Amino acid sequence: MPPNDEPSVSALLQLYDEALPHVYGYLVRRCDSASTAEDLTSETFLAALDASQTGAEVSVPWLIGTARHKLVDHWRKSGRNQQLLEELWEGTEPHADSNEPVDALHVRDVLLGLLPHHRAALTLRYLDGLPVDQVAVLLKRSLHATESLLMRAKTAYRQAATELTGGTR
Amino acid sequence: MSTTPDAFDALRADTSPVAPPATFADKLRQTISHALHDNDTTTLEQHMSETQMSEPEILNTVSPYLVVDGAAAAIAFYVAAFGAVEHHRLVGDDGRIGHAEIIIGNSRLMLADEYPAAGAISPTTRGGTSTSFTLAVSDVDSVFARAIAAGGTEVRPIADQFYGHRQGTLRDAWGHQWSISSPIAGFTDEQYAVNSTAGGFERQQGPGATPTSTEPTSFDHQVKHYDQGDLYYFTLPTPDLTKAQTFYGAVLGWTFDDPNNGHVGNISAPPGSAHGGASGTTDLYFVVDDIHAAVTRVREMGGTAEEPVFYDSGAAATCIDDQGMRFFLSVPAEKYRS
Repeated sequence: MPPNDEPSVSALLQLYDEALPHVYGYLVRRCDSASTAEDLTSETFLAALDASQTGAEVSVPWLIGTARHKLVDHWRKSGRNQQLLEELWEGTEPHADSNEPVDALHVRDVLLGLLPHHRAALTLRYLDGLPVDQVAVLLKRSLHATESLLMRAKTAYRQAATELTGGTR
Repeated sequence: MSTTPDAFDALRADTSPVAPPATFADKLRQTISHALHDNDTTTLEQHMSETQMSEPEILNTVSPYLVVDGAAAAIAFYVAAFGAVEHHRLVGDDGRIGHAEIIIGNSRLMLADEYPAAGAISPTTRGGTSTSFTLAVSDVDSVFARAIAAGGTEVRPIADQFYGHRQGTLRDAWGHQWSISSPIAGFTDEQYAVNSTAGGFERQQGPGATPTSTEPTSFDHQVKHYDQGDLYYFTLPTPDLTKAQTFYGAVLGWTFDDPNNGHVGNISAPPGSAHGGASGTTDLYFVVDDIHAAVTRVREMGGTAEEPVFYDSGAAATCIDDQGMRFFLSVPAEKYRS
């Protein structure tokens, strides 16, 4: 009989049991609703199923990376209708961010109030802690454009955080 | 920027796991499990090692229940011959096994000793069996040889069968029949039909044999939201349709459903058509909510409007505005609207 080069049925289900809370945890902290997190979690594991059947090595880091791509796709889709708003924002001059402390307490609420591409950039750069060049690859923008986007996103974040907390800062 | 501390680093997310709702987790697990089962190409031996590794998934909607006169010995045979893994057994105070479950590959089988009072009678007592089990393996010869070595009796030797499987049948010591089977590589459904006819059988397909495809079989039309005033449709006057298709295909990436009708199939909005013949104008179709009311309004405003015509794609009315430009009013058909 051929050597055991097929993925084991129970191996993938074992990985599912182990990885599900990590994948869901990653997504639910970054999505606007639990149902979106569930949808993207499903998509991530179905991608894992496909990948494992073509012989790819699927692991928790692989799943988180895939979940991140699903999230970026999701933002891209939800951002499509906001092209106009984006253009308005791109017209403003980015300025260097101050080093004033950032309100991290309401991070989720603040991010949900931002434009999808700002939310995407800040999530990948700061919540995920990715370097700028990786953020650029994920968002399919140049390094320079990503740096500008991040600066605008930070400005937007500070404004939104101030509005949310009643203009105390 | 990279060297100075970044205040936004305070946003770094918590990475602790979060359990999703159990109903969601169970449903997704089932989906994956079923998908694995559907695409399952693993061999019997791989299944054996898997089933030994972890609690087996119960995947089958239908599971056979075997009555055997000597269940303990039968389980030992199924383990040795077919690589079964015993899941559990219920042993009565008289030593009989009242119920046992074994796993072979991805299937669960249940079995018990004879309990004649309950109507549980084995093939040996009945004098034969009227069912048999087909065991799908990737290497029929080695599994068959092992089952014979473990005590099975050959009923039909291994041979290539007309239905595209290489298969042999054996009987176990408790009277049950097992066909060990591997598909023959490259065997087609057409060959199956031909061989069936040659054997004197007419193959009649049941409803379950109808291919169920979710893929659209024809042009999958665009569905979008339209508001009053949106451009719904356009046409471009092109004296030579073939040249126009080549040109716009190259310049704009348009694809055409049919070389003869010029219908542009792949743009999001609006759809349109490059048609043969020289009308000399570009026709623009604008969406209105009520075509009759709009026709009336055109006339009130000093334009002319023909009565609406109803096409499969919606209603349209040819109009000329008060300065002489031709345009169209339209109501997209329901199927094009979201």
